[in-house]
Amino acid sequence: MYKRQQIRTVSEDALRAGKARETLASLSMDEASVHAYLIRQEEIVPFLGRLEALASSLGSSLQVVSVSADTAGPRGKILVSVKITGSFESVVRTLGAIEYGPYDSAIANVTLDTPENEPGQTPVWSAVAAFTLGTQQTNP
Amino acid sequence: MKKIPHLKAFSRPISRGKYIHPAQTWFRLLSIATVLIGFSVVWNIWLLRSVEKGGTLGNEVPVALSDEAPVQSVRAVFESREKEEARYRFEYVFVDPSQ
Repeated sequence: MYKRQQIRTVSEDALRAGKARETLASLSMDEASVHAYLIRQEEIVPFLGRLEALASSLGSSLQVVSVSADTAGPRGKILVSVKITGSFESVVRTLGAIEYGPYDSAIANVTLDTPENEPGQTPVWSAVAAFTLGTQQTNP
Repeated sequence: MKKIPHLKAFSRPISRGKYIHPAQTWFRLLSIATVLIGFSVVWNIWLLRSVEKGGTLGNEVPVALSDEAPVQSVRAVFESREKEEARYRFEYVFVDPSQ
């Protein structure tokens, strides 16, 4: 009878441990999926390179004006300012693609300059946009 | 030895009149055993099915699973952003206001 009780206790412990393991695995997957939307600080340079490639694929050119860390909020953020030049359509498409990209970002402000029209040529527009990027907390 | 009157009926063999019927007794015994085994099989199948579906045995408190709603909402936000990005890249038409 005592042995049966012991077997039952061990079985229940094993069941609980199994469920805890499943929960932990699920939590790690959730954490990884959320972290995929956050940029790590050491990945900022390749990220800016990807933005330039994105602008190029949409027919505009992108220059990084400034990059700085935003320490005001509780979570780490990076402030990025870029200048996009090209036709009106390509500039707006690039701005939209950056704003709604697969990462935690929000455009803080945009300045769109009216082009100087030259007869017979496509007007060249330029936009200066500043946006914030959510970053992963680096573990100490 | 003095017998308790209530238990007399249980202590004597199953019989009809003066004669003992061993075949009938065996038949009843086996019938009861078959019914009990059948009940046990059905009970165990039900138990197995309920455990397979995530139920627990006895009075064990199930381990609370993590709340997936916040993660799902984050995924939903980024899925809608992805759709909007695709619209900006391929769908929306922007007309140059300077022309």
